[in-house]
Amino acid sequence: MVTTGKSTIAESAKTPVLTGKSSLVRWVQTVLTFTIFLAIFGAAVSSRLFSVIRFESIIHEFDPWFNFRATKYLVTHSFLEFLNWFDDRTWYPLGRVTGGTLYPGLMTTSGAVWHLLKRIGLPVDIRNVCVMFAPAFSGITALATYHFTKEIKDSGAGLLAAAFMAIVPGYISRSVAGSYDNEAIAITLLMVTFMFWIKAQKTGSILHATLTALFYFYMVSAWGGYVFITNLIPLHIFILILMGRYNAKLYSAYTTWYAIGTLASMQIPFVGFLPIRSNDHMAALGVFGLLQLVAFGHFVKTKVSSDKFRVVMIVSLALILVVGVAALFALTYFGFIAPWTGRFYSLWDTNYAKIHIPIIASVSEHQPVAWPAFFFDTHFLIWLFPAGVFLLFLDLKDEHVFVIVYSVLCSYFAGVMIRLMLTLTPVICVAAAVALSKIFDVYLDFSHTMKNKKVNVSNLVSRLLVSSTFIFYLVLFVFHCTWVNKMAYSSPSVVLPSTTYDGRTVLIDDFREAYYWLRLNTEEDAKIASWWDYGYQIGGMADRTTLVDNNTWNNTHIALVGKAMASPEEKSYEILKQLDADYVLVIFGGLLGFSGDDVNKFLWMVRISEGIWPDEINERNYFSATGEYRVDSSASQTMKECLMYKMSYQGYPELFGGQGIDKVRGQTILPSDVLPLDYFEEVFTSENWLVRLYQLKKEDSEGRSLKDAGDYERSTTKSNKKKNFKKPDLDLRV
Amino acid sequence: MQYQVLLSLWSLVAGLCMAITNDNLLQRSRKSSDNIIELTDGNYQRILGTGRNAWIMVFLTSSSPQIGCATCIEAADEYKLLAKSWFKDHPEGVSTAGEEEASLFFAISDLKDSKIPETFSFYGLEHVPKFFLFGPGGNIREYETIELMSGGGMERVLGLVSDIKKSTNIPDFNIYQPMNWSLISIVAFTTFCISYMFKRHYELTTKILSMRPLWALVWTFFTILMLGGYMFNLIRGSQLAGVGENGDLVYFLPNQSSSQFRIETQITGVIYSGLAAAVVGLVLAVPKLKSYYKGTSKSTIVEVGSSVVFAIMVYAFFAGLTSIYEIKQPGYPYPLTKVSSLFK
Repeated sequence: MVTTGKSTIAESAKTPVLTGKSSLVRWVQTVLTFTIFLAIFGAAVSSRLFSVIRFESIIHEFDPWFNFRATKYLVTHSFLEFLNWFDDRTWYPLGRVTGGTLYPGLMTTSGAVWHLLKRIGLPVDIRNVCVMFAPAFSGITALATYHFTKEIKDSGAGLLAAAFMAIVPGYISRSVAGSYDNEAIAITLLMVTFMFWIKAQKTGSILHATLTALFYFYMVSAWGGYVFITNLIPLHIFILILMGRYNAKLYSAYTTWYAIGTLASMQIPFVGFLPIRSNDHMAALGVFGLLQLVAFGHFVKTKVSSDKFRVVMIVSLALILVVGVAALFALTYFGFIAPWTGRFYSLWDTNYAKIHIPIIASVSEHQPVAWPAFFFDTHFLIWLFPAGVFLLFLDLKDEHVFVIVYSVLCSYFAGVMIRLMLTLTPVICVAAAVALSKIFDVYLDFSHTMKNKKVNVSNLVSRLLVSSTFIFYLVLFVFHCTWVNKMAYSSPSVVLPSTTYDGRTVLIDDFREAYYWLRLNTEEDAKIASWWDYGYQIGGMADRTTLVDNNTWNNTHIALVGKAMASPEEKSYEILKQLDADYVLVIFGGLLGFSGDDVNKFLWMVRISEGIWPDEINERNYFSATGEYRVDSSASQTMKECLMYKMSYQGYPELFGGQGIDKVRGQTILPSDVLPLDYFEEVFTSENWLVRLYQLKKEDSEGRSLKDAGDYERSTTKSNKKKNFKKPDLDLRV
Repeated sequence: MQYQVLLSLWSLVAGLCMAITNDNLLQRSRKSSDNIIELTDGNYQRILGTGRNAWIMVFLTSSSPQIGCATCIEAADEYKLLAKSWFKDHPEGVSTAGEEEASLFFAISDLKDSKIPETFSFYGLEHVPKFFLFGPGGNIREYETIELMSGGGMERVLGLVSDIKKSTNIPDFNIYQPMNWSLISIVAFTTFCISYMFKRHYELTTKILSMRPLWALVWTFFTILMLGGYMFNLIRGSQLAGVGENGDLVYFLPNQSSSQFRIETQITGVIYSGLAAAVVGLVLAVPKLKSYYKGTSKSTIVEVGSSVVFAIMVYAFFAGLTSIYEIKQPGYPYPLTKVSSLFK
């Protein structure tokens, strides 16, 4: 299927050449375009299926598990029930008003697809709908990219952009089969919205502007990144006004979009009154006001052709700007407008998050990007992209300004935060396609080669050379994309692939093993304490109540769990008892060499809880005397006493007969380093020790503290050092 | 018997005389412009080891170029800021804001040339820089080590201050950052230049400002900079280049596709610019040249020549790009190296 994508690109380049007027040519053109789209769709879907073929049809990673759980709730309940859903099984004991704090676009769409398939007699499991959701939508994204680029240049460039968009790894990274996340649908909607916007500002058509607003509404319902559109479209208009390119078309397009789009977006419960109260949205409002003034100015200009008009215009504009900014500050100061959100600050002031909001800085998606990542995600498009931006600058029609603003802004954003690479990728595809199509316009045009029945050899040679090298790069691009998709972006991360010493591939399935154990062996209302990364998975796979999860809305609650992990046992026990937790789950990668485990994430737990309790938790206490992060004998006392350390390494040195080697940190742990655990009892450890589960012990029946009881136990059975692994004495419930 | 009384009396008097007073420490501080006492082989025993009721912070460092300790030089400036801020609020070195009066002085022991100060061997130092905080009393062996945070700048200074506050129970220790005059003057100068240009050469300025290729160049360059990981360097404060095992220069951080040196941004910037220039050349320059030479005998040779040169340029730069990517990601299967080895 991938080879189809290749031929697509080569063919698509020829389309602008066929400009003949005969109906036969037009027929061939239509059939060819249709075939190309079919091929692009096929390539887009098939290159996203690696994970299903190599693993299984499974939901990936963390957030998708929540979306999946919410979708299941939606298809088993009514839509109103879904919107009013109060989930008491997460954020225990607080609960979460889930219906009011999620973006429902994704779930409602897949719910609709599921109902539709059922109606036409194709009852498909909702899980399969969710797994295949992202690949199916990527085909639509390619189509939208085609129409977008067609407006920018022509249909030839559009086909190239669509083909790029279908297989570019930067987009596939968030849309492989099973990655059922908001971004899967959001990028599609982003491109559709932009496509309609370009059409609207070109024609001034109210229909197109209304469609822009409708898809903007859909986008708002699907992803928090809609703020990008909210600011990009006003910025486009603003720059056009500054360039003196105001016209009535812009006026009708923008005002229609803003009025309908804003009213519609306020219908989403989670967004509510934000569009008129939050600073993120103020630029759109400001440009709306400005546009009225500019329109009025133009009207006045046609009536009074005075020389003084210019001066009056400038003075009034400056006045309005000053008054507007002052009003914005005043309203923010008095609390009528919410200040910018933390994520927004961290985009501009790159050190803001590091200092003020460790929870944002701790997420790996929010790290800055080094250059290899750009090349990895876009291959040769990365150098066609600047060339495309330059070439668009030289044409500089109104719609080109949009692409340029988008490119410049997003290349900055992507550099600051790796997750925004996703929003940069479409514009890379568009600009690169424009550049490449301009090359092909010149060098794939062989119409002048045959002149007076004589072949112009030099002309032919240069054309062949240039076009063949670029077609060669296209082929290479297809290989690169396939390689990246296969290698990097097709792992579900719930199941880990691993190679044994004799070269066989084995799947490490510890997560599901542990979650299934929880599902079968614990009370239905058991409360599981774990770091927030695993909250959604526990909720989705084990169906148990969690204290914190990936929806990081309550920093204090997360810090409380972090504090429990970072404190000595007695204190942790107290905290966890107050939280009414029954089990504690830790991820330990030492045996397997899995570097994303809790010991490596531990410093973030310390940092986040230090932000709330600076007197009790101090990051420096967890480093060794030489200031290093160590887990062996030279680890600090605080480190060795904390719950996370004890739980991770409990019984680990004994596994190796006295010298446990941590394969992630490359350090040796001795039995004397691991202090005994008195308040918790190990109930389950998965096959490769990846997941370890502990139960909170009951209060001692004789009224001693659990530590005293443990000490007494140890003093009496000192001779018998061998550890008994007790099976949990709970009955199997099916 | 008499001798004993005399001896004890003498030792008492001697002890009183020997004890170092705050005034003495203040005098010593005033000697240097930074208000930091210089510890020498001759005076360190007396300053640290005799009875006193002041806290003393000691900074053990090396400004010698042979040692080549970059952190020391950074920390020295921060230490000066610390001392300066303290004496700004407390000219006598005494704080009365806490529950009891407390005084604090700053001292430095610096390895300037090859001679190692006695303090270093006395405390058995292996690493510099170090911060020791000596409490009141006068036991030369009794001190607290204050850890130096890894990140530099104000963050580290504030970290030191909070540690000192914690240990000494002095509540009022504020940092006064010196005004950054250079930034202000640069801003003022550029503002002046721009307004002057506008006033005097209005026509020219507007012509430059409305020049499309100029804007195109600026923003394309900005994009290239961003794609080269410029923000990564800025946020992570990565170093310019690395040093290999044999002391040679390493331009690319090998095997690390999520980290980079600063120089990598510059190299990829050159490559991307070269590639973009070649593409623009193919699209714009070749047809322009062709129409310029149209009808002359050179027409074909110019057309073929220029397009071939640009195509080769694209190939060479692209091959270079993949080959440096191979350093970052070993085993990358699609390099253009076989031909690019000619251009290495």
